[in-house]
Amino acid sequence: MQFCDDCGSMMVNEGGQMVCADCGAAAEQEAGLSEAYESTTEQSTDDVIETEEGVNFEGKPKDDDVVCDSCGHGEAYYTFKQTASADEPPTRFFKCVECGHRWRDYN
Amino acid sequence: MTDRTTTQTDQYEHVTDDIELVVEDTELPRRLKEQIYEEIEARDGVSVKQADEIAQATESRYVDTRVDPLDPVGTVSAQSIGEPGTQMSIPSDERVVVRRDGETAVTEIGPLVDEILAARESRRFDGHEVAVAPETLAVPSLDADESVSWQSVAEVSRHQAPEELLEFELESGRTIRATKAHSFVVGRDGEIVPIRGDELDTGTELPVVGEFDPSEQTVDRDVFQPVAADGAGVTAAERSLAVDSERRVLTDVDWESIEAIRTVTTDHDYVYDFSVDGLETFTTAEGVVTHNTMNTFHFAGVAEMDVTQGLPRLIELVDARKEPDTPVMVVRLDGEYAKDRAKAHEVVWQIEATKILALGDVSTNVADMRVSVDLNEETLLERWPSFDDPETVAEIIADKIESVLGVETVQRGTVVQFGPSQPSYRELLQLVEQLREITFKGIEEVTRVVIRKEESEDGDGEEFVLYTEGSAFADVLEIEGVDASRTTCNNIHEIYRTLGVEAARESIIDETMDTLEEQGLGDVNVRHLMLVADIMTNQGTVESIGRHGISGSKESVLARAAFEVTVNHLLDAAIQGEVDDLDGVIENVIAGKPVSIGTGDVDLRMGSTGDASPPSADD
Repeated sequence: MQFCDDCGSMMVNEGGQMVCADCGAAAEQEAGLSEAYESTTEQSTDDVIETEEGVNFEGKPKDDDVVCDSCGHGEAYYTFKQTASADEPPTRFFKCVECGHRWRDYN
Repeated sequence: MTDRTTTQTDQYEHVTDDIELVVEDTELPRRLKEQIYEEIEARDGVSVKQADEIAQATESRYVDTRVDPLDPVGTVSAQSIGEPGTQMSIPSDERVVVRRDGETAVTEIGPLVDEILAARESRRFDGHEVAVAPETLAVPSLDADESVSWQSVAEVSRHQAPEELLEFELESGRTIRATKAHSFVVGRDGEIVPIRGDELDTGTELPVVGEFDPSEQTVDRDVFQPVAADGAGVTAAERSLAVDSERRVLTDVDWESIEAIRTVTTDHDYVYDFSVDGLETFTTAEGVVTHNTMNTFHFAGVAEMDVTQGLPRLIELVDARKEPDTPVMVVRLDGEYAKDRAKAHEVVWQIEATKILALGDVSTNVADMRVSVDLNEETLLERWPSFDDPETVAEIIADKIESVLGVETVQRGTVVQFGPSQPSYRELLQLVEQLREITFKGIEEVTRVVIRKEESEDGDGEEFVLYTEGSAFADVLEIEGVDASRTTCNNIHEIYRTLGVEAARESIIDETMDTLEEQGLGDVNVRHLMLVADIMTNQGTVESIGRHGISGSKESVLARAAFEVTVNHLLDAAIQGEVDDLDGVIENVIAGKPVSIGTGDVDLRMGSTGDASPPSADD
């Protein structure tokens, strides 16, 4: 942006000349100013996310001490959450490694 | 000071000024100091040295058991805060290895996380401040096969620093500090498993990477340089540098045992953590691989999307909310669209709302009062596959800009320029704002699409399934390649409008059942849910269970009044002169009369039958 030498107002480009919006004084466009006052937002490179089934379970803890009710497999991912009041044991959530069946265990 | 305290001990004969000095020097509260004086008084003849010992011993016990404000106490609180509360983290000045925008750097975790939390939207979660990490942020992470590769950081978090941290020193002199609950990974029975910091002992082996330089306190940085596919850049001989197509393995881990464990304190207010995908590990500048424990299941189908779950979702369903909190669609594809990645992407471009920043760079020049859009030719051809000249596509975009913003555009190749009709700074910036809002392709409502490869329902191999954020069910069914018979959305009303009330009923049952199953409550009999769905839909529209829906349309005034907003119902009934026949259960409970079901449904009368002889038992 270029400002008027006389009154300090903003100048606008009119046919290659910079003219003061307020008092009408004209001046040459300062070279290189154009680049200095250009701001660029670059193209975002976010690609479509591709994922696979079960990928969020990779590396999650497993328990081999349980049996899936649905398929009889003996290994399941687990996680804890305090679902009931604080003096109750936390609830264990299971997800069968084989068939994805989920169930809870309260003690 | 001495004057004041002297008066406090005047009453004690055996408490000398010296004894008083050592006792007063402690951090103990007045009550305990008094008790010490009393004790010394009672014992008679306690020397200054002994008094000092008593005071010291009392003080150390006092400090040990003291609970600071906000400190959780005891088993009950330990359970009630649950997993995130016991989450471990590392202190602010611990240096970690990260890669940002392709640049590998060693940085202190504190300032890095603080910066992300300040710049991005963060949420509070059990005393943790959590923010989604920038997509370009990655850390070297351990995989189950003991190799180390770059994994992107999902979230960063910080929470209040506890009083004490643990510092571990390894054989080579590497150290790491972490909260007691911070978990590390150890190798056990050939598997890498998480373990809490305070369960580690000297001698336990932790995974480490690279050569450690004790003078620099930093690991040899070359380890983290990407290895060229042909194996060039390999320095250490032992490093196995298997480069597979999916990810670049940086190096394998070594195992190093712990030499010493110390308790240390930190001056910083917060401790910090990264949440990383996969085995959830990241690496410090000294090459120690450490673990994080934000270890909860992502219950929803796709971890990348945040979908309302559990009780809030159930409430949303029975309330028949017009618009769910997080509208999503599961779009299944037809024939080759489901099998071919490129074809599946074509459908994605038809669905996902394409904004200007996905297509090219936007430059604003305030000197010339011009906005210039430099469209990316490659992106244009990718997103408009039916065209083979990027300039034609640019024309479409220019037309769209003209019609929406009402400006004249000038197009040169794939560069589109425009500006406000009158030179005005404000108008220029407004135009840029509006430009960013325009949807050039796809469905306005759908902000994001995630592609997931799943096992085919019919069992022959794998297919691509699209998960969308935002829904426009009717629109998406029209798109070529979408299998309308297997595509769903989680907005009951949209299903009702598009497919009718039977489909809406079916979808209520499915959605409630899915919600329960996600929570491990799949053993609820589906008939209960069918009953709910039937009641909600039997008027031919979808009605909520609540005062605006089912319960509000009951016949009886008293039954409605008993449910919600009692006074309003009674008042309205009075104004309109409604009559209640007291037929139902609730009305009779209110009136204190027997209800007309079960045993209340029969009347018992006593009286003679007119026959002189009583009836025999056979009758």
